[in-house]
Amino acid sequence: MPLTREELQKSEYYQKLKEQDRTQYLNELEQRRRLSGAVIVTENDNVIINSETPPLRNDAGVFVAVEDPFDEGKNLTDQDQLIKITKKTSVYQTSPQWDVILDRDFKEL
Amino acid sequence: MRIETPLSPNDFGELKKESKEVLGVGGHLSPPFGQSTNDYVEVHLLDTNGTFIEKFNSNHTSFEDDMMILNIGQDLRDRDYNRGEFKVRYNFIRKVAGGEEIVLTKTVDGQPNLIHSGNPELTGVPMGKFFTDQEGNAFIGESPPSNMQDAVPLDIKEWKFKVDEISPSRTEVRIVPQLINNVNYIKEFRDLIDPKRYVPETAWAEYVEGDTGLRGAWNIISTNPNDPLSKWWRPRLQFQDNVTKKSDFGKLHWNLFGKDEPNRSLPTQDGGGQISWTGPDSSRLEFNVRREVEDEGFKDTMKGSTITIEKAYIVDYESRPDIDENSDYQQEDAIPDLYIQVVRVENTKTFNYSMYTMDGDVYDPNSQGVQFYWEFGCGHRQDASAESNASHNYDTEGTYQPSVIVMTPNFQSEVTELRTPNGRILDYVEIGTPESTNAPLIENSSLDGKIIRWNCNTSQGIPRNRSTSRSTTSSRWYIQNGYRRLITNGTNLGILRTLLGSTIAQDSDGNTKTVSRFDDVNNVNVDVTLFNPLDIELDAVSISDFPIGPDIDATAFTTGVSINESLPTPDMGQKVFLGLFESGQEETENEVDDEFGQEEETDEGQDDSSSDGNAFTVTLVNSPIAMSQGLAGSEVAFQGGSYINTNTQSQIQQVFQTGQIVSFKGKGMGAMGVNPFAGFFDDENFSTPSFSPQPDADELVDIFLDSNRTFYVKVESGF
Repeated sequence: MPLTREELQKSEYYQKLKEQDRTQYLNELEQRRRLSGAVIVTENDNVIINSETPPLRNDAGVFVAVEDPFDEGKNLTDQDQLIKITKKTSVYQTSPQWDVILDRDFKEL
Repeated sequence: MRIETPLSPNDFGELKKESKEVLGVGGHLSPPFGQSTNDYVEVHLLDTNGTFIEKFNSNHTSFEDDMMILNIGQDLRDRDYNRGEFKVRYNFIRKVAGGEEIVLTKTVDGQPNLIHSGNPELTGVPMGKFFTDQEGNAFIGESPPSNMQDAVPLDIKEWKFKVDEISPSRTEVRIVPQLINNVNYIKEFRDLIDPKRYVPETAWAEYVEGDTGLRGAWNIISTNPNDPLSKWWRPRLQFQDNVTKKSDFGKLHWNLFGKDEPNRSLPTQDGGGQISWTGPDSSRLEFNVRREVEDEGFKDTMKGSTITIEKAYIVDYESRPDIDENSDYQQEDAIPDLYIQVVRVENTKTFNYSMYTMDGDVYDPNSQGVQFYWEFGCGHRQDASAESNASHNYDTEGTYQPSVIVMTPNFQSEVTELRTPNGRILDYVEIGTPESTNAPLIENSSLDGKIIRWNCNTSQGIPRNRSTSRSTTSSRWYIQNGYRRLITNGTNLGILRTLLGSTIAQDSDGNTKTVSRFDDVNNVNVDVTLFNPLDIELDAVSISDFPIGPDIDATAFTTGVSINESLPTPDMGQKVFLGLFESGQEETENEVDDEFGQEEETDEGQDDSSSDGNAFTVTLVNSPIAMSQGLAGSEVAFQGGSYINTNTQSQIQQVFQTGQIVSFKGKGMGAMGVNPFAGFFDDENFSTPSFSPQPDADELVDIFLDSNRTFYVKVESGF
């Protein structure tokens, strides 16, 4: 018998199943983070996310964006969920050097 | 990691800088990405095969310091991509022209595509009211008219520029503007390609003011809306009374026409900001481009650009003085060597000083640029002035060394050399007999030892032989130590010539040489005999420049002042210059001092003069005691003698052997000041003063005398 969303929220079975999946989801996430060095275990056995941690990626190197298991539709905001790119970039000598080195005349149009 | 570019590795290596930088810190990319409201991040979403799915703007990209932080998960979840594997491509874009905004355009007075409504910040034009019909068409007005046929339609356009053509390589495009007749829209388009140029806002009004045509055009545009000129410009200016400014017109005119017209140029004198060196020795320039608040000055996008400063350095110039050049101008010469010519005013303690050059010319620049500062040697000075001559009356007897400092704009010289009018150098000027020395100053002349005669030219005047007698064709003098000694007769002249070895000059035939001179006394020409060596012939002025010395009479060869003595002798006193008779001047006595006639020249040894020697007597007559006439007794004395009063002698006399300065004095009898001393007179009735001004009581007077003379003393009774 199909259940409505409201009925699912009231279903103890569904809630346990959901909690079980969430726990498994978080365990897998933590495991992955440990492998990637993204977590630090403190003296009190607390686990914190390394602020210098790289983005979370799978074995193929693909970035993995993880949804917040407690807030549907929202992505986790941990540091490994962000991709940071430096603004610094290679720059080039400008005029008059480039006029000497490059042919900057239009070739088309 | 090298960003992939079309650059060859070699070009890349040559162009790439060593260090990485944040783009846009300065220059045309300024500001850095993320700091401009025109910046946005566009996300391209593709499947794992690279197939494009969609694009959207990222709302979760943030910027911290030098980092850009992408929240890809949230960007995709916002688009309901919660599960799956995707490729994403992030594009960081800065809008340089155009926008998503919608504008409505209309046609006014035949001018199409004018903005009716749109974002005022974008268009610079106030929002116009409009309404739309059910089909989404826009019309002017708040609401539909009763008859929709009367509704004025509007065109709906995006504030964008169109891509007109894309190159085959898809790396270059040609874009064109739409038909939107709006200054800001056109400017946006032109700014894409025009070099960024800073023009101070204040320059636009001056651009109009500086041109007669533009000034007149603005007057018409601003005051006469019906003029065709106004009808053309007003829509383009979006003209509003009291809002649209002259500078708006100038700015638009420049952009539309002025900058392409060769005869137009923006003001250079003002409105262009200020530029100055940062210090006297600085090589750094400082710009102040914010003249007024509306002028935003330089922008960060201009950093790294080229600044062209017209006329920053003078590389050449032409001097155009607003005055006429003085063709007579000469650069100032140095002060020449000068001396002070000293002339004592006869019978006074006053000396006249004049400036002369070593050539004997008067030095009188007569210019405020040349100043003379006189010091008279007695402690008195004369304020600096342009007067090259000075006169000073000394208070007391003594010797003085006057000097003058000559100051010109560029030079200064102190002149201390003193000379007499005939050029003899003096160590000092002297009043009375200096107590410090008994040795008179010995002077010289280049004519010393020569016999001189007058050239008989009366145009300059006639030399005086004595104070009251004049020279003639037969007058001769002997120059001794710069003094002129009159040879009193032919006998004495003959003796002198013998002593000097002077003989009559003869021609080859043995005839006596003569020269013709005009005898102005007798109005005839006479032959003047020439001697060998020649008598020196001088003009009247030159002769009068010699002070007189003792006559050469018979005593000069016996017991008198010989020609071998040094002059002046101690009893000669001050130098005396007799000066000149003016031609035709009436003489008072001895009209012609014809010491020896012309015959003497050919008949030497004849003595036709009865005045062999020149002794004379000076008489000082004491003031009589005559209370009824208001007269009181006096005391008189010659220099060096004691006072003799009226009660003792009515007069005193002294004989002098030759013409000289005679000094004497007088005073009233009794206590000083009781009976006022009135002075000396030439007659016993006291009608002709002998001196003007009269000397004070007990004051020596000096007067040159060479003949008998009587002075009458007058003392007024004090009772």
